[in-house]
Amino acid sequence: MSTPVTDSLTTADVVAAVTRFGAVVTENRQYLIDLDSAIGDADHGENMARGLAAALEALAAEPPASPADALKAVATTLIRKVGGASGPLYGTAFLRASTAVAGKDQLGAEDVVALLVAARDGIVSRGKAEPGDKTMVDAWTPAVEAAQAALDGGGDVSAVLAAASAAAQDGAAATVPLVARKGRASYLGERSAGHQDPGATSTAMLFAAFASVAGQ
Amino acid sequence: MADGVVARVGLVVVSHVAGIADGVAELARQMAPDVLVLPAGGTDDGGVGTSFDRVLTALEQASADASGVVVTYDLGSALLTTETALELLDDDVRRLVTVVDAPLVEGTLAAAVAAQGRAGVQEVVAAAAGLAQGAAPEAGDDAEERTTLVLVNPLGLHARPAAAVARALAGLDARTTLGRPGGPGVDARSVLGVVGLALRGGDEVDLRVSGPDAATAVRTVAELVEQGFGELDGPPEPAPSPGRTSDAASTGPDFSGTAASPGVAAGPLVHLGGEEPHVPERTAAEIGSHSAAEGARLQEALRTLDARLAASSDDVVQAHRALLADPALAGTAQQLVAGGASAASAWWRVVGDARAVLAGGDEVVAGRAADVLDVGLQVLALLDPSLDAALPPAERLAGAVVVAADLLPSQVPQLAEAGVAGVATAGGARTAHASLLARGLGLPMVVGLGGAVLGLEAGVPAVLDGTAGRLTAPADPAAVAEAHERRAAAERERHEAQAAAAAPVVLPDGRRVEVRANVASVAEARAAREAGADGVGLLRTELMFLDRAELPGEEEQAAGLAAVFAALDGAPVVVRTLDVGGDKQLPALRLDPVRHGFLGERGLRHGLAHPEVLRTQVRAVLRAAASTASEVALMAPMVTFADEAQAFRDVVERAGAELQAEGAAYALPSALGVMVEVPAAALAVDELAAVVDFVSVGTNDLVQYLVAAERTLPEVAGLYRPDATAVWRTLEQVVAGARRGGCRVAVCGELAGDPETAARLVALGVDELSMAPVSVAAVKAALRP
Repeated sequence: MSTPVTDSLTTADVVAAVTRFGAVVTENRQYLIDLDSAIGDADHGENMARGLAAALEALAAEPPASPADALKAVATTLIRKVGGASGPLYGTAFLRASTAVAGKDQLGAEDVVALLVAARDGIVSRGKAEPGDKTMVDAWTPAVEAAQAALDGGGDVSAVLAAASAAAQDGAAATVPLVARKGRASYLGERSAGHQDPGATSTAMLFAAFASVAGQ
Repeated sequence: MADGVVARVGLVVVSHVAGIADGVAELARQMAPDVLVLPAGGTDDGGVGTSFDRVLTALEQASADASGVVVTYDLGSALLTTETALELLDDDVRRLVTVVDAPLVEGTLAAAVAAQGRAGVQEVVAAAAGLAQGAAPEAGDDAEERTTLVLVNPLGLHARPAAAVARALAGLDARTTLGRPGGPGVDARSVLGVVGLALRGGDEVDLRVSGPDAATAVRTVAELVEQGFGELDGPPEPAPSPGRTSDAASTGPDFSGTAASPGVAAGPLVHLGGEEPHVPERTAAEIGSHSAAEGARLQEALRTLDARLAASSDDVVQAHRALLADPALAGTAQQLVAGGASAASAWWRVVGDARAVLAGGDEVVAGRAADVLDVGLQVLALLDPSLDAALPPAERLAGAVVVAADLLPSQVPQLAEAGVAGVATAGGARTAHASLLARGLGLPMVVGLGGAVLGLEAGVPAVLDGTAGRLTAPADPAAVAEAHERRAAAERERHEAQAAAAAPVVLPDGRRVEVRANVASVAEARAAREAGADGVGLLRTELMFLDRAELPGEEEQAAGLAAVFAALDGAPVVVRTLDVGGDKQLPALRLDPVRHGFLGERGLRHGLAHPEVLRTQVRAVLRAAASTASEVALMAPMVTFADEAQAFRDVVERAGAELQAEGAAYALPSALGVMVEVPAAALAVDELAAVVDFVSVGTNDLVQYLVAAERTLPEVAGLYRPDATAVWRTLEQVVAGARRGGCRVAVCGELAGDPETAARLVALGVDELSMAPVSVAAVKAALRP
């Protein structure tokens, strides 16, 4: 028996965070659809809500043995169930995150930052987007940087995730004036300015879900 | 494995909509019935999006049944899904798959047609991606680079240089124009446009480039121009003669013209039907077709001919390939097709227009009209076989003197093969490609004889003097007899000289010394055989990679090698893998003069660091080796240590295993060797000998490394002394090391081609010498007891 560690995420915490993420996305399904219909194909909210519901079913059907298992199950379900760009992108993020923490029972602050860095790198290499392209990278990049800074400053898991969540919110809000350079929104050119990017918005929701579970 | 059947490349079409993927796949299958085309469109429940499972299944299925898989896709997220699927696939499946960025419909069709013709993965990808490059350049607001160059080669921008420019620019993202200073520019990729400028030696040419690769494009074109397109040191073509002999000048029986290819010929006179095919102007609808199908048919015909011509390393043929890719021909024809014309009538109209434009130029430009007609007829024959302009039957051509208004370059080899004795044309020029080919083939030819020769009675005895530039018809029996005698005497002399040179060199102690040639092309391979070489000791493979922005694919390399092998009549050959770096900088590899300089990543070092380049070449060699009776050995340049040689051996063995698994026809090399150029290798040849079957000393580089002086730098060139004591002591060590290790030693640098030095090398114990074809006879004579 290991001694109880307070400053860490357990398998159950990861499942709880994904559950919370699914609930938030479902609650905000129409909001995400509206954002996406302004500059995309109006399917982001629908796709993510359905994909996360399927992921939660998978987690319930076969309870994961480790945080890495939980993240991997979410990854494969999102990849398989979500058509369009968000499936491969979120799927890759969860997959790389899973690999980064393979073999660990609980995730400390350093593990969480390593997981976030791996996830962000996965998204960047898959989508080839850079900060400023008006994509989810605009939420991921500041979130990962804030998480790293919090860790460097001696923060615990909840501090790291709280910092990341706040930065992701700001990053998503900052996409409003940008002109899209990647994804289907890029076809709109200048007309994509003035709308918040749906992918960056759901990324902020993801960080908020993890931060709220860690803060409990 | 005599003739294994290579599976075709398969295609996977990924789209957001099932109907699009299914429809494009169906369209592709109609044009390429034997190609596996699998659609993967829509989400699992039939919605808009891409299904990971559908993509994964299609990739697995295609890779199981095909030699390679090329994926086309519609939107970015289809690419994301495909890449995610690839990440989760096994390595050996993933290795087979290439995703290509191309317009979905056109790219898939082009890929399918290429795959139907058994093109390799790289060629299929190029076929699909080529369409993306063919798209109209964006009206960029990026800065334009301008420079004015002076043409240094006497004939200036004629067809071969123009083709070299077009080849060098292929693949570069740069809008490039050439023009007279102050005048409007033409697209530098348009051979016809560039030739039409009629710029000659000494003229200035304005080069303007914009786009991301502008700097590379300027450098590449400037280098070609400054080096005179490689026409400065070869036998220069004489300046164009002032004009054609006028029709009224001669009425017979003696006609005088311009000597185009030396030699004497006598035989019955045969006219070559000069009538051009009549191609009626038809719309697609009139022939029961539609625009899309006609466009695809034209594209397929162009690709088919291009693939057929790709096998040749002949400059003239390569210039014809450039014409095929010329936007002034193919692009304009496709526009006419899009406007409703049938493929054949659209093609024939643009060919006619281009010829009319060229005919107005000076003699060199007008000579290119024949090339356009030649390419035009070959494409036309593919579009409509009934329009094929066929030659008279071979039995009438054998031994005949052929008279024609003008000759198409592609007809010259056909005439030579049919056994024609000589050729006379009313028009034509000494500088035309047809004349060039005739000289290369030893077919006597006189051009510019005037229209009167076209009226001569067929079947009369004729005598042609290609050296003096004369045709006599009808000729009296005495003249015919004399001509036959002169021809026979010349033949005899040639055979005797060749036979004398071809005999092997055997030393008094019974040891046989191989005297071989260094070659880089089909023409040099032929020259090597004619010079009496015992084989090829060094086949340089860089030629195929020169002057182009992208690497040739496996198929193209295999075809090029097979053509060289075929010219060797079964004589043995040693192929050297790509020797880049040092002073050999290839645009396609984007080399850096320092990192890839003489002490940098060159030769095998580059190959091992870029396994895909080496693997492709080795596979091409193994495949080409299956097509020849010659013993094909393989060697790597710039090797320092035995572990590098072992890595090279591993690459070759792996390539063999792959080809075996693919069921491809291939043959492993008869022997594996390495070049010895690095002093560290020279002093430890016994270690190399444990891994390889032979070593070949590259004396040029070995001397340079021993004396630490770059031979191309005038400041230190005086230190480059092949007779230095250190050089010969090192050579002794090489031979001794090879003896201890039990491997053969060859010398293939310039040292071997000097008769006195060659004797010294043989005395040292060298088994084989390889040199420029022209030195073979003299070295053999010097070595004979």
